[in-house]
Amino acid sequence: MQPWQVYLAVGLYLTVTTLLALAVRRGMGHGVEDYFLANRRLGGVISALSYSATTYSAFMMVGLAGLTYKGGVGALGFELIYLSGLMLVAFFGPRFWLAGRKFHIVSPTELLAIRYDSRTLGALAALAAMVFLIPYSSVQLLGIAYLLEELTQGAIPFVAGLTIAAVVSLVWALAGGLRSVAWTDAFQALLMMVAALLAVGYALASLGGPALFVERLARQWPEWLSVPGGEGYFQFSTFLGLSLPWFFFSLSNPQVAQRMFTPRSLKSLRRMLLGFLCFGLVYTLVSVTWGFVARLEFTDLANPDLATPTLLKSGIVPPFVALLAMLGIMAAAISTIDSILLTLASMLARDVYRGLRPKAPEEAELQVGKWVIPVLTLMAFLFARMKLNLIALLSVASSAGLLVLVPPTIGAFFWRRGTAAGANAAIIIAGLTVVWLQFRHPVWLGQWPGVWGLIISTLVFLAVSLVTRAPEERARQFIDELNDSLREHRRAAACLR
Amino acid sequence: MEKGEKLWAAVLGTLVISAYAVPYLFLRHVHAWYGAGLFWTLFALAVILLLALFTSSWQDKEEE
Repeated sequence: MQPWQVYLAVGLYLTVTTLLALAVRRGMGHGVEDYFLANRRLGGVISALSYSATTYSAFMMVGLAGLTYKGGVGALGFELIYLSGLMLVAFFGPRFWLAGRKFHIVSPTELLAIRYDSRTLGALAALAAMVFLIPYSSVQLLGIAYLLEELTQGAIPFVAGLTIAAVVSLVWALAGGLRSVAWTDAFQALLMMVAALLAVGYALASLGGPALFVERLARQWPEWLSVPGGEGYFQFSTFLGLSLPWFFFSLSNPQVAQRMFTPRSLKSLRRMLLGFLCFGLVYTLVSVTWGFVARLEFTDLANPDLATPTLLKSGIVPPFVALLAMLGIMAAAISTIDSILLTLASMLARDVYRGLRPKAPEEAELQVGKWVIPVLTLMAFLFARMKLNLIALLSVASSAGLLVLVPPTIGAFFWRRGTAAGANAAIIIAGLTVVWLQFRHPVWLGQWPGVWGLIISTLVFLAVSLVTRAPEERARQFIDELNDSLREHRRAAACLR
Repeated sequence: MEKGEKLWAAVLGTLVISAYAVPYLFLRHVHAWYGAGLFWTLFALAVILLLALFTSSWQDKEEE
């Protein structure tokens, strides 16, 4: 891959996507809901593609492929169990959507603040999300910078790659808020899928076709086709530790939970859910197949994360496909980062700034949100630049750490006795425990930090809630009234049919 | 949670448990494409189909 080819391809991709981000700004209103939620008017197809691009980061074609290379088919199981976790959207989606409209909720953490009648809870949950998601974004930036440096043999140096990724994430998030992010995400989701399909298609063809590929795999690497897989990597505790936090991803990660507020109708919400599930199944199968291709091609990679860069450089796919695959991975990372930046900005503006100054006008809140985006980008950039071990650690802890938000979120719609004190205690105690475990005992009593985080958060939330006073009126509004609204929608739907 | 929702939750929950139990209990020694890999793919397809059915009542009076 010649450096000029990489520059040209990256330049073209960034130009087209930036023009798209600017074009969709037209017709944008001025309010907070308009900026952060695209005025709750996103259609189903754009929502599905944007949800896909936001969820799937560089992890898929690099990390998941690497996991497959290392441990085999268990990687497929872990990722498809994550996908099945979207069943939570089937239960929580309509409730988030209805509550969002009823109370003008902007962020998932604001939902907790309103439900449990506590601004402190909203601010605390927003800050907890920030602690885990900024390092997660930094690691995505690092991934792009390393990939560009590796594939161009240093022609695009690490810092240049880092800067390009940070600047475009910032520009696309700032250009038109969620409107720009959603449309650029949708374009990038298509790019991710086409690139991955082409790469795997060419790779399989060069290996003699799918039948021969499967036959060679079974003959040369039979252990990799079952669990616990290659070198026994996917022991049950590892599998559970990996898959459990991801099962709850659609509720625990605010950048995707927020998307339950944005579709323009329940029908669009359904399209988002089903469209994402179909995208996710194909993208997962393709990423895992890519990892198996690497297994057949290279027997002794020191680091499984090198499987993808090594494959792309190996000549198994033509240079233009390798280039496209690189753009696809870059698109996957950037589309995740800009969504996280926008969601964190909305949480800091709504839950922290407005939490502290409840009477602040909407314009001021929006300004704070817009100012926070460059600050968050700079933080992610600097963390990535420093390459601190702590950042990698917090990023790994992010899926486990954000799990502590799940019990209060479930309680919001299904448990009348839940209280703000219970939710606050759960977030603080379980959050600190997860970080401590990640540092000191990544596997404790045979289980990963995410498993402990969920158990501790649930127990603390239940115990503290039971000895504190619950906000009865809010419980009635979020449980009884929302159930009534859901019943009305079902009745109306039956009439429509 | 409504009665209908509880039934769906039970069915879907059972399916998720099977995604852990079946490959680890029954397919450990099947070193072929029709082992755990096929099972998990069918599991994901089943989840998608069931969710399509479960959410079929999500309609609005509002125009798309």
